[in-house]
Formats: sequence, structure tokens, C-alpha cells
Amino acid sequence: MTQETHNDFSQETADVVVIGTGAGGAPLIARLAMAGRKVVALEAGPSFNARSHTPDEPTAQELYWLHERLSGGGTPQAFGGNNSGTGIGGSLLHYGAFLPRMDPRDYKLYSESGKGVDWPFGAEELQSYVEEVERFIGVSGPAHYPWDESRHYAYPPAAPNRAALKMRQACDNIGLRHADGPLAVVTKDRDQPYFGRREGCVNCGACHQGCRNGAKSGADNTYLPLACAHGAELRAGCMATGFERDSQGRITAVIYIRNGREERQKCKAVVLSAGAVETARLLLNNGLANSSGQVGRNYMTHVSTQVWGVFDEETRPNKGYPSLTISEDMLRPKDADFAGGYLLQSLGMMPLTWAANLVRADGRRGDALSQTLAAYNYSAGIGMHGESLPRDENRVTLSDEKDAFGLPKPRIDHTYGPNEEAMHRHASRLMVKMWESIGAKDIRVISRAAHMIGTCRMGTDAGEAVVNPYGRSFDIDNLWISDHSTFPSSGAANPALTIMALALRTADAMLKVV
Amino acid sequence: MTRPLPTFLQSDHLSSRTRTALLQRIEQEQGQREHLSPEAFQLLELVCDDILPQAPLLGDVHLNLAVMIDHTLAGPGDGWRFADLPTDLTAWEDGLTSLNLYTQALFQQNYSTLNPEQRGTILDKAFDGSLPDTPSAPFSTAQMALWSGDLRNQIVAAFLAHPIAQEQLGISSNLTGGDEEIQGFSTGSLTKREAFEPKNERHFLELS
Repeated sequence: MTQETHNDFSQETADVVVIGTGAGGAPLIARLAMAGRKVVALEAGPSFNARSHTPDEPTAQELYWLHERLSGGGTPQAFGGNNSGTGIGGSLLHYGAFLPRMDPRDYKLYSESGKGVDWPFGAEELQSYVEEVERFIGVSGPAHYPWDESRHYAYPPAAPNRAALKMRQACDNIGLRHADGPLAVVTKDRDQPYFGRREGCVNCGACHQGCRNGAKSGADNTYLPLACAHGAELRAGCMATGFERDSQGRITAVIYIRNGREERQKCKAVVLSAGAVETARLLLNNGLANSSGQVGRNYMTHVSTQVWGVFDEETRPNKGYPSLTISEDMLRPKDADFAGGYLLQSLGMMPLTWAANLVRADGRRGDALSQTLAAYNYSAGIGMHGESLPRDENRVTLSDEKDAFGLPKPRIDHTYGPNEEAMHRHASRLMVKMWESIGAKDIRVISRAAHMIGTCRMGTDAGEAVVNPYGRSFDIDNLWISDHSTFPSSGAANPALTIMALALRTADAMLKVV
Repeated sequence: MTRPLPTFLQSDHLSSRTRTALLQRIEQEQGQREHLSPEAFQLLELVCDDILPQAPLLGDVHLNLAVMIDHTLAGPGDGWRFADLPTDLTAWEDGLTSLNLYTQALFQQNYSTLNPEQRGTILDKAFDGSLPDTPSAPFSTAQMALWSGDLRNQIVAAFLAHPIAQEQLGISSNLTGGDEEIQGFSTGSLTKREAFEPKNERHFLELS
């Protein structure tokens, strides 16, 4: 078991300092270390012991990024459980592990629709990296993937829970194709190189509260042990706050706070892998890499509307992998009045998360609310993740309030535009129809956004993008970004797989110059 | 009133860390107000029962959700808040004060003396942002709508986090596995209850 770090580079000049140890950082840390680079990874959070994770939802909040964010705009986003994490392994500690590939059409949304932006490359550029990630971390999925016959998954699908079965039935009723979704969950025991035995999934349903037996493919049980085995140093409890620079403006050291004291790590290059909010906040607060004026801009989410209903038979929504059934048929609906598209997935859910979504979106109270809670064990849902276009007003800025480190708290403004509203309406109609077709009662629509994407866009034009197509800053040539903040558009797929693939690609580019 | 511990707390499908957290929560619920002002706290007790009546779910047992919320307000929070609301403890103090002031403006009396229908009217209008403007209230009607979402969220979260509620509603979400063996749920029983899971003591209530 081995995120054990044997090296201590604190008195040396590291080749690379990586800030963040999640999906954006971990694969890159491993790649650079394997190539012999001295890598120091700074992680703001602690190092957790997976077996100590707990399904008790209030306690499991320890996996969230808890430094306060201010959420504004017309449709302010609820943070907490659905986005940033903390600790060695980052958000992958609590991610849902639903691992669809980003659809090739989503890389070319502007060319296709005149809306949004194109990525500077297509799906084919990332394909080998995507497959490499899937192979290395362990992914389960169906023998035949209806939307891509060439695809193969190493592990058989997880067992369906009631919600998954209900969605299959609803899809059949209205003529949608469906499958068991690709999951970053191993369904049989696996010997993970440099980590050891990971047990197969036992259907405990607590993916979002931290996987206790290693079945979920996170960074803590895949790339980080690989990185440590090749000499990378993981330094937990280190909150990066600033940088030292030379007369040319290149970064020479990263400043961070550990145990209340400021320390510095000398380095030849820096990678920011702190996520769409923290990466942008660090750059904005230090006035770096922003000659384009684009840092913090183009903040995107996924339109993540849910539809819930109550059934006659028990559903026990906390049991089994939460969101197994997928349909990709709505990635380009024929009757769409919006650009892009969305994925559908079945939804089981842990009780507090379920109730929080419900009461924020639905005005019921009194006996009606009691009745609804009593029906938890008879409830099942369907959800979606859909394209969210970049908009001027959606951005990360620095607020006037200071946090415990004396740094300005980030403010995130988020407002749905016409495209997101249209997609929400389309998906709501469809999902309600699906649930009606199988006799669900008390059907309710919950409007919500999930995930965090954008704020340091990649592109080919230094005037309009923060980093080049490999994640390298246009302004500071030894500064790189490897996380979802570089995504030019959101796509529909959950972002983790694309983040990891991009991280490997950025690492390969760095190895040519670092 | 004697309240036997929920039997699932003895289950070997529960980890000791989770058991400890749940036992601490039982203790916390029996504690005292620590952070909110006495006035705000009293009002919160009423509002908790108006938002979420517990009798249909727990019978004679009544959980002090207001105490659980009061204790949460001094904690680390969940990492975010609405930009248009002040920090948590202030927001709750202001929200509850405002609720009373909006009530006085609308009904010329305090929240505590309203009949259930009037209380419902106030809570609904607060939630959907349709309270009439009342300049004396610390919160605007838009702020009341945002805070109402937080309020309802905290109430249901406190309730569902309590092991007595979990036992009565048949919720097995904490029974993911013990310390030595992480049993999970057996593949063949994902659509039905296994013997170690609590039953739905309060059945699926008839939906009107």
C-alpha cells in the first residue's frame, strides 16, 4: 500500500512541482517520475486511509474542498459533494467513477453548430491516452457498447440495482438504446502495480463517500503509488499560495503553507492541477499568466437535471453502484433546439444527498415532505449530463473576503443561458416521459448543475487562451496547467477520463523540454 | 422517554468509525443550544417541526433537529455558501430574525402565534421569493429564498443523519461493511432488503 514517499526534495531544486494530486495531477506526476524527473506534488489536504472512509455523509464531507467558495449568478451552483475534493487523490476520492468517453462530436461543437468553441484537436488525438488510462486504472463496462462497437472494457459490468433496472425498462418502452455504463470500478479483484490487491466491487453504494476496498479506480490506488515507486514525493497538508520568479518572469519556487508556516520549494517548472476554481484563483491572486485576460473566464458546468419518482416496490437507492445504466442516444437528439447533447444515467443515491437535491428544488414541506422522506426506499431517479456553453458572465473572480490563509475567497458566478435552459427542458420532458412509462408516482424534476470546467482555456491564440494545446502557459514558459480548467468546452461526458488523458499528453509534451 | 439504541448500531456490517460517528450524533442531539441566540433558536425549533413533521415518521420519538443544526453552524460547513448571503451563523440569525419580521408585516403577529396555515404561507412565500418587501428585515425577499433552501436542506440532513430516523425509515446506507470484512450488499439482493438491513417501520406513506 503505497502512497509512501521515500524521497525528500525539500532542500533541492525539483524538476517539477505539481499542485494538486487528483485526476489532473496524478497521471502526470507518475509519467514524469517514471521518466526520471524529480517531482514534488503539493496537496492541500491530508493523506487518507481508504479503509477508514465512512458512508456517514456528514463525516464524509472531509473529502470535500472545504475552503469556502461564494456561489453567485442567476443559477448559483451548489458546491460541496459534486466537485472539488481534498486529500491525496483529489476529487477522485469522492467522484462517482462514471467514466464515459467524451464524444468525438463534442470536440468540434463550433464547427458543427456555430455555438461554443472547438477544441484545438479532435478525439483521435486523445484516443491512445484515453485507452491507456482505462487500461491502467481498471474500468468495467459492457461486452458490446451500443454507441461504439470497437470499445472493450477489461472488467464485466457491475450488478444492476433497482434504479438501473427501472431505467432499462423505461428506455425499452420509449425506444432508447441503453447499456451498462463504463465505470472506473473493478468488478473482480485486481493486482494493481505498485499498490497491491484491490478488491472487486461489493455493491456498497458509497462511491461518493470514498471507496473502502479499493474497487473504485482513484488516483490513490493507481497513479500515485506508481509515481511514488518511481521516486515522486507527495507532500500532504501543503496549501500553495504563491510563486517566486526570476528576472525573466519564470517561476523558480512555489510558496506554500504547511502547519501554519510558509515554506518554499525550488523548482524548474510548475504544473497547476488544482481544479477550475483553485487553479484560476491561484493565478488571479498572483497576477500571473493572464495577458489574455481569460483566466477565470468561460467557467462551465454540466446541465445535470434529475427526475425522481416513487415506485410500488422497494428500490433501496443506497445499494449497488449508484448510476449504472447509460444511454448516449441523446448526444445529438433529432428534435433538439440546442447545441450539443446529453448523456442519461440511472440514479440511486445516498439519503442526505438525495434529500438535499430534493428540498433545494422542490417547495414541499410539512406532511408532504415527511411522506416523501418515508418513500426513500421506494425512490429511483434518472439524471443527465449535458453540454454547457461558455458565457461571459460565468467566471471565477476573487471576492473581497479573506479565508483562513489570508487569501481572497473565490466567487463563482453561474447563470444558465438559453442553450442550457433549452436542454434542461428537453431532458426534463424526456425523463418524465420515461418515468411515466413505467408507472412512477410523484414524479418531480430537479434542476441542477454539476461539475466544474473551464477558467484557463487552451487554444492556439495567445490573445484568446491561457495555455497552448498542450497546457503550457503562453506567458510563462515553465508554467503548465493540467486539469479541467483547460477544457475549451464542457462536452457531455463526466470530465475525469478526459482530464486524466490530457494529463498524460501534457506530461509527454513536458518531457521534451523539462 | 426511553429511547432504545437502534439495533443496526450493533451490526457487524457497520465500521467502528461509522458507529462512533452515529453514537456521537445521538449525544449531540441531546445537547444544548450553543451558537444561535435564544430567540432565533426557539423560532428554529418551531420551523423545524413545520417544515418536517416527525410524528408520521418516528411516532412518539421527537428529534431535536434545531440543536443538531445549531452545532453544525460552528463547524467547517460544506465548502460553499451563496454569495448573496453572509457567513453561516450570521445568515441563520438574520434569516430567522427576518422570518419573524416578515411574519409581523404580513400577519401583525409573531410566527409562534400563527396558525399552521399561516405558517405554511410564510414558509412557502419565503422559499419562492414572493414575500412582500419589508425594509426592516435584515434579508431581502431574494435572500430569504436562498436561505430557505439552506434551511430545508439542513433540516432534512440533520434528520436523515440521525440513526433513529435511519432505523425507522429502513435506511441501510451506513451498513456498507465492517472493519475486517467490507461486506457491501450481495449482488442477488440489490432490489430487496437483506436480513441485516433495517425494515421500513413506517411504511411508504400513502401519497395524496
